[in-house]
Amino acid sequence: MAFAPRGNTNKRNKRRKPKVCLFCVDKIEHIDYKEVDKLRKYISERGKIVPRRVTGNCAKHQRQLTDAIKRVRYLALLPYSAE
Amino acid sequence: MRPYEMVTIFQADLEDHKVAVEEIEGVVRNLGGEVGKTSLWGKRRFAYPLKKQTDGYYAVLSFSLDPSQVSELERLLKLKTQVLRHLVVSLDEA
Repeated sequence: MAFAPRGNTNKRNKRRKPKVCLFCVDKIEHIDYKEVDKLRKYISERGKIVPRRVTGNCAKHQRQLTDAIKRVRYLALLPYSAE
Repeated sequence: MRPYEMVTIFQADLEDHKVAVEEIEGVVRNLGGEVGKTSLWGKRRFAYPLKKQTDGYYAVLSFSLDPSQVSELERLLKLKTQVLRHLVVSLDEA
């Protein structure tokens, strides 16, 4: 397939929803690793941590989130990997 | 003395988990710590098998303890066969 012309990608970018960090919206200062159900939303079907470019989290909260998920994985409440 | 929080996973087939939790609280007190709130999460299924078991009993206890005693606490917990796993977290950073 041919590359899409530049004008097209710009249009696509315009249509894309702006991503906002849900933790900032909820004004959460520290992500608590004990809220396992909240963390579950940020792992993929295979058990991977969903990247920032997908979730739209800010750097600060994504850092806290990965630390929290890793703690919960150690506690066997979330998988390290899933089939 | 510093505030800590500890998640402990017990074997699911213990007769009385409250006794087991109180035993851990006693260990903390013996090391000169002050035990605060304890919350019992109850039985939960593991995401992966832990020591060949599929579920365990979770309890979270908060306490304050001298930092030098934390490694001793961890050593004593590792000796307990009814504790499958534990996680000590310092509360002032978290």
